[in-house]
Amino acid sequence: MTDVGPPSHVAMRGPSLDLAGLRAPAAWEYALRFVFGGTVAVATTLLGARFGLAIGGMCLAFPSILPASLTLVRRHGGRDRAVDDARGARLGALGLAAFALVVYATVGRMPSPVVLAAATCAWIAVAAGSWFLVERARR
Amino acid sequence: MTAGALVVRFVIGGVVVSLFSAIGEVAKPQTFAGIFGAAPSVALATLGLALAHGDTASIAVEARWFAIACVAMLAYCSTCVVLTARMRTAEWHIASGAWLAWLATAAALHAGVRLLAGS
Repeated sequence: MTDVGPPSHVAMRGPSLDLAGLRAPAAWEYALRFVFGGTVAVATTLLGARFGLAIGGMCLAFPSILPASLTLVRRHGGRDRAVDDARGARLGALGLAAFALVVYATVGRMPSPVVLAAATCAWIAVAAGSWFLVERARR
Repeated sequence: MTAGALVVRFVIGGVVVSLFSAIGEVAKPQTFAGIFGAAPSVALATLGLALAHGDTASIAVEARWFAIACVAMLAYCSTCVVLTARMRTAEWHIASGAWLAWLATAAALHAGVRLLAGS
């Protein structure tokens, strides 16, 4: 007897954590992400020093995680999951703007750890909040 | 900037990106995990070190341009969605190609804002 559940787009699944996902990428894939992330951080610094604060600031919004993430999701989960990954990243980009605006509004007015903590909270609040709104609209 | 300072930035940048990537691996469903593909990883590493040096005026300028460039990140992600859904080529090629969308959008924004500001 076949278990026929509701289509995945009908039932809203809340976010959850599955630690087994850490075993999916190979060690070299983690190393690739580390090297890529480090390279982007250094490149951002050098470009800012060479071309000024405007270029340095814009480089902070350079995609440093998604390129490798999309490749690996496609490899381990297929094309549809890669599309979902990129869709989620769009919402993360909205949160990224909130992060930047909070840094702009609070830097120099609050202690540095508070600035970064508030900006990170703004990022996850806007990104996760957008995700809930989009998922609810899709139901 | 000394070579030692660049090595520190490389290590911190790599660690933060790896951390957010790992969170993206364990988060479900995939659309929620995708959020971590646009995490402020490089920003946390770079701004964290800059804040430690206390140059708040420069950071405010950088943050303003960072906020503007988030439109380019949005363009990058949207390009990835469209190309991944419609093309059969490797994801790495798609993501690399989407960098052009980021670069074009960022360049247009930079030129546009400079023009509006009259500088």
